[in-house]
Amino acid sequence: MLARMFEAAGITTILVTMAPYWAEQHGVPRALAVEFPFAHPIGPIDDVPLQLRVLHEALGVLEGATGPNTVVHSELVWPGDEREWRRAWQPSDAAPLIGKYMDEIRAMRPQQ
Amino acid sequence: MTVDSFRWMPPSLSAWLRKTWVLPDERDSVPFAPLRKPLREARVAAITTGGLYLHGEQAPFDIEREKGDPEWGDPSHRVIPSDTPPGRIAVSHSHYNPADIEQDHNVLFPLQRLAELREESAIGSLAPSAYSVMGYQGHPGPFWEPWREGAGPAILAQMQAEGVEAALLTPA
Repeated sequence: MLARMFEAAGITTILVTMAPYWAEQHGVPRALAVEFPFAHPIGPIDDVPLQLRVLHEALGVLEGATGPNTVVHSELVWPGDEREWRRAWQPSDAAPLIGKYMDEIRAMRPQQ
Repeated sequence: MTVDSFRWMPPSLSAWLRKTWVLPDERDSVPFAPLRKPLREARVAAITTGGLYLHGEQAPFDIEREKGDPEWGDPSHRVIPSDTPPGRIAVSHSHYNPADIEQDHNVLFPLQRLAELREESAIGSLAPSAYSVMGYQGHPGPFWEPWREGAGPAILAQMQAEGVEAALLTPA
């Protein structure tokens, strides 16, 4: 929504998102999608080279996109352990919303 | 490669979000402003939805109210100087682990990295001000009206006053 507002005012935007599912569902001027854990769209802490690679890719989309709904999926790979990071990005206490709907969420667990 | 938006989530949360967080399809009305000059000459600003604020100088986003009203999210915004060093930015956001960002905000809010890109002339300049909102804006949402009337126009006005031509948006 903010990207649309800025773009309508003539400011070129680039979104770096870990969840292109919603950007592609709703529509977005331009986005770079990265398969990184939440809260880390630019990369891992202390990994300056990877952070700069993400930004160079993002700026490439910013400059090169020729029309709206341009979503480029990055080939960059998160270097951390997958099992660890499935937990590490999450808050120590469940968000209030998640707590409120926990029973409903648990009921959505796929059956084995 | 197709990025899997749900790779890092528990399967139950993933299924619940797909069912309950459905955004309107507005792909046919997306505005598009091509960059009007080479990026190496353009002024860039950073904006995040991470719920960031200056530790000890600004009020946190109101996650206390959210505890009692889980379907509400604080719609305010914070202006953060782009030269703020790591360690001075704190996080108020209930939906992710803030530890890495509070140690080095560049993982989400790449102010130092953008300054380095300016040094290598990949961008023209970095705007004096950067911005944060808190991305959780209620459930099932999207409840964007407060941003549309408050944070959005305020951030836009300041970006325009600072001559911003391109914006990097980083949701958390």
